[in-house]
Amino acid sequence: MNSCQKFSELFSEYVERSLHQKVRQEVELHLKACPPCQETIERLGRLRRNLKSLSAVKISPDFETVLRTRMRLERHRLRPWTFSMPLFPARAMAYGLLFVGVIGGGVIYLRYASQSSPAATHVSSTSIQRPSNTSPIPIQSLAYQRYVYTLDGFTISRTPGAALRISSKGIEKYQAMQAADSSTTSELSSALEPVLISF
Amino acid sequence: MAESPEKHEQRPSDEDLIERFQGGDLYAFDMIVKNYKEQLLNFVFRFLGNQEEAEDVVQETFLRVFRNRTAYRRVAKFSTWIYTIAGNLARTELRRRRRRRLFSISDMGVQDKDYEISDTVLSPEAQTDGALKDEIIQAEISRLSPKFREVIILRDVQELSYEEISKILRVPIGTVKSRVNRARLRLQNRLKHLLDK
Repeated sequence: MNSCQKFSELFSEYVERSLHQKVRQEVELHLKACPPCQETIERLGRLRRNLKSLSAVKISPDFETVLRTRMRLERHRLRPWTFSMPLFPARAMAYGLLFVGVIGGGVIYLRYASQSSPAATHVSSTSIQRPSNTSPIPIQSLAYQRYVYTLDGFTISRTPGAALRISSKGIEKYQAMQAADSSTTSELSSALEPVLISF
Repeated sequence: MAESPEKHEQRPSDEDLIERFQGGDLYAFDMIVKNYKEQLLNFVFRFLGNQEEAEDVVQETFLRVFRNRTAYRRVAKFSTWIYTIAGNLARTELRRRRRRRLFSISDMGVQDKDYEISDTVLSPEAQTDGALKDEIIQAEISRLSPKFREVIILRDVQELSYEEISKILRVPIGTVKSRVNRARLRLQNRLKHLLDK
């Protein structure tokens, strides 16, 4: 690297007067001995003045109008329910119908599930017709409810006279329970016995 | 005569404005647009050399600020943040333009290589007309490679400090100084005819 190239790396800092005094003096010594570098330095000064005084570009008069429109579209895109009034009634109606559908469907499903027993598809099951004169299955005790409502995971109807589906495994469990102390299961036994006898 | 109380009101800083905007004050955003639209346009225009494209980029810059207002943290200067967004968008626009022109430019691709095609085509009359000095300078700025172009605009046109340029471009200060020096040397060499008058 010749000395001109080496010093040219410092020219910008030289014209900005940000060089250390010692380095600055070295550059000045070189400039005194090198007219081409002296010319370059002078041109750099003029260039900086010219760049600084470049005329400012005038912004279009509709710049802010266009920006506001784009911002409105942006807000519309981000939060349509707040900014799109014409669409609001239709959307509200759709959300309302969806809500009613979900809640209504849930209620119907729960009613259906509580009134009918699910099919015992994984085990062999037997349908039992409960005699019409049978009293409702007691539900007062939680211990009984476990057996009354769900026998081996299957819901048993509480409606008198409704068809009752109990898996064979469930019946075995019930019979085993009957063989045990009858004092804790007497109420349950009295409710289900007619059914099982008919089977 | 008593001075109006408005005279004593301190102008809110950019950081105060963006904080107010983050809190939902849309008027603060309007103030940011007013404060920055001209300087950002000048920066992007000098970089792209086309006013229409520059306005699009500046619009997009404000939209990004609007959209990502929560991303700004007060640890950085707001001006650094907004210049970074504008600079990134301008560079993206330049790359898009370069892809569009790929068919007509055969051997482009080296990052440091200056552009052979300037955006402003000047007639011989225009080149001798002193009133069009700005256009000649702009044409030469446009011929610089993007990385030299952006530093010289930020330093000599926008008059930002080396430290701020370093933060905007996310490069060390030494690199910024070196690029500024090389960009100035190239420009002064190409603008001899104008600067020696």
